[in-house]
Amino acid sequence: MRSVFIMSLVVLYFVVCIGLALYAKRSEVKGSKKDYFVASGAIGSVILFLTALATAFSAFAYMGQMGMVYNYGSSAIWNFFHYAIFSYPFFFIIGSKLWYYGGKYGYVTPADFIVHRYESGSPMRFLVGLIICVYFSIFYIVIQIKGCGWALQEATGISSPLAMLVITLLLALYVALGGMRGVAYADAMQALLLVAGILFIAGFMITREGGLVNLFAKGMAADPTILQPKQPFKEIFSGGLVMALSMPLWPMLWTKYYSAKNMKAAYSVGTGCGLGTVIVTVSLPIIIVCGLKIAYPHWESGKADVLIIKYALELMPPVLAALIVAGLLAAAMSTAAGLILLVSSVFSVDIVEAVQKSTSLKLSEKQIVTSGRIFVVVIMLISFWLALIPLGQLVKIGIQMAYPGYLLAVPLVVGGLWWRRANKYGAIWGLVAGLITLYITIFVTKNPMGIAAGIWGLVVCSVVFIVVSLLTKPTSDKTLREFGLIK
Amino acid sequence: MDTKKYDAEKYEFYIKNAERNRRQKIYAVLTLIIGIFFELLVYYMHVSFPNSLIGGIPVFAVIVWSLIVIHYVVFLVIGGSWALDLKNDQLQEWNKNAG
Repeated sequence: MRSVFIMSLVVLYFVVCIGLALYAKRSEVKGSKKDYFVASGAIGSVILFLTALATAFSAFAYMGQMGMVYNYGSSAIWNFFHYAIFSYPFFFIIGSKLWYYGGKYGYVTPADFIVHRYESGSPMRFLVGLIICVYFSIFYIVIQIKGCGWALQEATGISSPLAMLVITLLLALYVALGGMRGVAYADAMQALLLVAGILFIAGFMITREGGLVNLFAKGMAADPTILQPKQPFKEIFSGGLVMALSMPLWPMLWTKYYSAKNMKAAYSVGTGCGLGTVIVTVSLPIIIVCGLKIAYPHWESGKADVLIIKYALELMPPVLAALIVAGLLAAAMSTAAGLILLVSSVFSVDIVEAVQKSTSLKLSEKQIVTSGRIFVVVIMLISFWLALIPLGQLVKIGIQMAYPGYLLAVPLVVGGLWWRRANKYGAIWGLVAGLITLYITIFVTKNPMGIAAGIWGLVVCSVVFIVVSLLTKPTSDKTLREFGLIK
Repeated sequence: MDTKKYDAEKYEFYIKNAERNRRQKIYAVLTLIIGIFFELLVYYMHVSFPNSLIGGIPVFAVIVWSLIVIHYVVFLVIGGSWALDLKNDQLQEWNKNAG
């Protein structure tokens, strides 16, 4: 009975996703890549607020972070708190400038801005497009699909591969159909489900334990070390900074600035992610972890990620359990959809369009959009295949370097917007040095001196970027004038 | 809508406007100051546990919830809107005439 109920709600949720994509398709400007990939820069503040929240918070919001708080106590909360403290100026100040230039020069991908500002074609498209946007992102699509597959298997009893196939097909369908507009509408609905799921589980725990004070008291009794900080301060500080500083330039959020209708809408990307941080990553985990400690006081630390779904399925009524599963699917699928569209845009714009410009191959804009839709399907099929096989070394590198890798965009964007001496040589060598440093500090000497690898990558990237820029030929006056850096 | 005219005005408003740039500098500096105080607080709570204020969950929860909600409302919503001069932005001709 429970699984039938959950299945019905999940099917309803899928139908709504497809319906929203079809609705979005009605407003589509046919054959326009700017419309397909960034909705012609026409999305308003309410939708962008919700879509940013849904994109930024993935299945990790339900599983990984609750597991972290379960294992690391208050350290994990303080770690997540960094998102709120340090990311806002980047969201607002950098986001508003990227929105402005995106609209003015018709950008579609993150590499569009970098290539234009640094007057560098292929090397930058390769580094920013293929490595940072595609290689670092594609495995996160796989993780989201796996998370959905696992949750659906636990909730409904259908096999995980079948569940993953259904999720893959659904994602491919609504992203290919609706483009950025469809993804944004679906995200808006998914953001509400994501937050509702977390709120419902917290509310259920409070009611079940007889009020907030009792919940806290019982949580403390179940595990007196529940709040004890279990991570070194340097790890909290540096790990938190990596996520906080990179977040506003996560590629799937970056393209949201381009899709904003006006500056108020671009500002909503920051306020949406900020509200997600307040509710989902900082405030409610304190309550939820107490509930989990009461129900499962001695759970194996390596498997704490699964507790929230286990709790919902074992202890909550079917209606609420179904909402929690739908919330998890919403969190995972909204992030995956943003990433799929991003990767598809990189292949279509950074690769296909760039190649055709340098060859005799001539593709119309309509054909570029069609290639984008085809790439969506191909990316999803590859992701499904990757979800079925054991993770190899290349996948591990991609996953562990993703968020620290996104951080390397910060010096390039800040330098590009405010420093006239910043040039392509500095940007290319800075990125290469940063990536090599990341590899060494993640896989060879892990987090030297207890400081997160991302910080080492950022420092080396920035130093090389500045030194090489100062030693080499500056960017042309024409380009500097286009970015308001000279009169 | 006179696109060319608005393009020039937008450039002045979003990129060259001294008042907007001054606000954004203040916002960035304030973030840094708040960030330093935040790190000191985390460090204090970290090293003095369990004798610090966060010995009990209710106190810890109240501290965390108050800090993050106040920070969100005051610094992000009100402060961010001030830093971007959103009120003035909404009054601009291109926004009035848009869509």
